[in-house]
Amino acid sequence: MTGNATKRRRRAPPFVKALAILAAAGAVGLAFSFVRAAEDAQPPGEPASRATYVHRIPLRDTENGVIRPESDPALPFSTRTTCGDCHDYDTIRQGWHFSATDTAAESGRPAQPWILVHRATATQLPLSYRPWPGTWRPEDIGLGPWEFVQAFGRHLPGGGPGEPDPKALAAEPRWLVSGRLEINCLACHSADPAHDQVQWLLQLAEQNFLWAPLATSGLGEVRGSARRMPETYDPFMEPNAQALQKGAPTVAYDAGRFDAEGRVFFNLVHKPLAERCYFCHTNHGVGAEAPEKWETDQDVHLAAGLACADCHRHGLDHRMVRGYEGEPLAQERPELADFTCRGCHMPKADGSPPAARFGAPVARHVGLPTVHFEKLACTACHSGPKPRMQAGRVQTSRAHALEFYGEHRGDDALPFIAEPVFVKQVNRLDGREEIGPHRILWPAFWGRLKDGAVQPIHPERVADAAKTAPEAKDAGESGERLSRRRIAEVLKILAAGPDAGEPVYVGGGKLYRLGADGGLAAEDHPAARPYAWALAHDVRPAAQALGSGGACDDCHAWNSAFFFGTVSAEGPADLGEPQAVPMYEFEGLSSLSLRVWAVMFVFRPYFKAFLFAAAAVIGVILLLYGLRGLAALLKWVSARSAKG
Amino acid sequence: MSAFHIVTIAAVGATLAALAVHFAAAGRRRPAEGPARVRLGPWQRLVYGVMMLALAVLAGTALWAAVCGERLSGWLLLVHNAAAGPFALGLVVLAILWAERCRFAAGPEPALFAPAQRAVFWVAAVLATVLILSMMLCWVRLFGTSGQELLFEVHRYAAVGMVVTALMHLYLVALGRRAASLSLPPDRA
Repeated sequence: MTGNATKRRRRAPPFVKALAILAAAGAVGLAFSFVRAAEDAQPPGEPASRATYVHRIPLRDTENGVIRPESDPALPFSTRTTCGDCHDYDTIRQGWHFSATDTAAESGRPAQPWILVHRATATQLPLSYRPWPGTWRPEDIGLGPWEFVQAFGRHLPGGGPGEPDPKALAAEPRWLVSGRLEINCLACHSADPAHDQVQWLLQLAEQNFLWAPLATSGLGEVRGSARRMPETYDPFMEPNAQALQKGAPTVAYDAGRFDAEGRVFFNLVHKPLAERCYFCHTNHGVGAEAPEKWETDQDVHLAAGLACADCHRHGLDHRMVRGYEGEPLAQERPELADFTCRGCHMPKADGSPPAARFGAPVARHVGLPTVHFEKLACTACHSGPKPRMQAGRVQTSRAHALEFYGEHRGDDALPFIAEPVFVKQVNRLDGREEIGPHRILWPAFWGRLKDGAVQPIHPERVADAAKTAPEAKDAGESGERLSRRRIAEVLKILAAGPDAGEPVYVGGGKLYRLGADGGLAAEDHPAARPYAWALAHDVRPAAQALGSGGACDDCHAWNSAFFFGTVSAEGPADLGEPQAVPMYEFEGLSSLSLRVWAVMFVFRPYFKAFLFAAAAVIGVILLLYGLRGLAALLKWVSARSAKG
Repeated sequence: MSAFHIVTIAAVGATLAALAVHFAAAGRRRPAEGPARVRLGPWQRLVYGVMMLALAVLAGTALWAAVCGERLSGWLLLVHNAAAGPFALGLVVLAILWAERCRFAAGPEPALFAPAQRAVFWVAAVLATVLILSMMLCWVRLFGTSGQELLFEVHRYAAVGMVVTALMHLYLVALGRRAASLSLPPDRA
């Protein structure tokens, strides 16, 4: 039967065969295109699974060549190529930590600036690539990307000014020797206990930008220094004997870290550990009143088991949620409202319940009049150290290099930053101002006054000029801090120089210029105003919030630090007793009204009793006459029914 | 403009319009002969005047904040709180003095006000209790944010009711005084 059937089957004509082949090829092509489309729809580096991806991957150098432990010369691995193989590097570069130099990136609420410190010239100057009022752009004092990385690279995660545009690269030939400072993905995502971010600083000090990620990773050893190499040195060529003698950077990989296929295991986590964030974001109170480290607690959210990145989250673009109330408006991303304090802990403005992510408790605020929510940021009561009659001094990782031991440490280390200072600042979702805790820096720098505006001068230039100033000290001058007399002398020297503009010194909240008598004359100037940035952590437990348990007098009292504490306009120069600025001035409030409020709160318990009594008396009268009226009504109804 | 703003404007506007219509229609007529009424003594007038002045301050400060689109705070809230004391005290005094003579049923004392004024008095007493309690309960540790919001809403809507009631009371008092003056012989009018 089969054989007959086979015999009966007619052979298809050639054109049908061709059509069939074409159709089959088309089908296969279509199927491939669907697969490709599905692959394309998946953003690179963002697997949908929540399972941890084990990063056993080959190391690649900047030219995308695979690195073997036996490679000679061994080049440092590049994160751009090694990590960028799966995670699109240029997308990641849009992230908050890497986009400061991108003028198109949203700057948002002012945050901590980079602070240029120069003790000899009594300089503490806030710098930022972001246009935050009160900061100066690095270029304003002649800091190009190269100098900026030299000054602040220790706490840069790479990228941004570390990967400047070709024009800036060409302007500084040392970039060709040091290599670019790529984003160090490991700085945040490594969960390896051997990851050593301090190596980053040490490599940057040697201008070993290209080698810095490797040095932190512990996958190998980096020896030598690009700093010692001439501008003609090519780090991608095998160093000759002469270069090696000079100390050219070399790499020795730990062969035991490579598997048989030449791959390396990276202990990475998608959500960075808080300890990694702390490397750049630790704050440490100093001074007599500041608690010891062991006496302080960490943020209540971390204590509850959350990580920083649970709230400060992002997609592959690394555009991290900063979490302040006004961010959804500033970024035009309404979905960010869920990640603010209110978003998690309070019902929304339309009355709908809070996001309550991670089972966040809904704040009840029993007995707290709601006007507080219009006037205060959540952080005013819940975050940072409790207010003191004199704002304390704080040191931060980025400003004081807390992660490194050395002579720079100590309570008097510059810059002087005060906290908590309660400042009224635009923060709310509706663009309104509210009072919140801030850290504050009184800028101190040398500049030239032209057309009413101050242009800062790089402190090194001032130091060079000051070398010619007389060294003699007046009685009482310690020599450790720049005195008024010394400042006047340096101003005279700068005035005699060729540069245009009147030389001035800004510090302690004032602008100083040479007076007619040759001494210093102080005046107010916008350039001398303090720079403040909001603080949000550490968040204290609810029971430690201001006003908790009905303690209205935490703020509404004659001697409340919240309103009547002072902030000392401290600067590095010895300009006499620093002015003490009361907190209410930062809050934009009237001292008199606050004092009257404070007095009213003394009598408030009696006032409450009186009003309750008044309501009770009127209520009793209403009840009494209401009952009498009811009795009369019943009597009338009864009489009517008797008649009827 | 919020619902509260609309309700406030509508309530106060409608009250003023109704009073104007009433005055145009009936206020100019000579009053019919009725039972003799007792005139207020100087102390009662003083208390009434102070209470109405306090109410004007309370309403004015609240209105100013509403116009500015903010909640009462700072100096305005201070003044508002300061006026609350005399207002509450005046209410208590007048409630004690007038309650018996504002009964609708005939009592041993002659009636103090016309029936409409007596009705307004009792409405004002109810609203005053609500007004005071709604704010006082915000000051004790009983209600959380949602409860506080509710109490605040109750407070401000009761305040609008109180303003409307006070306007009506003032109008009726003025009408009564006018009527009384018209009833008097020309040389005492």
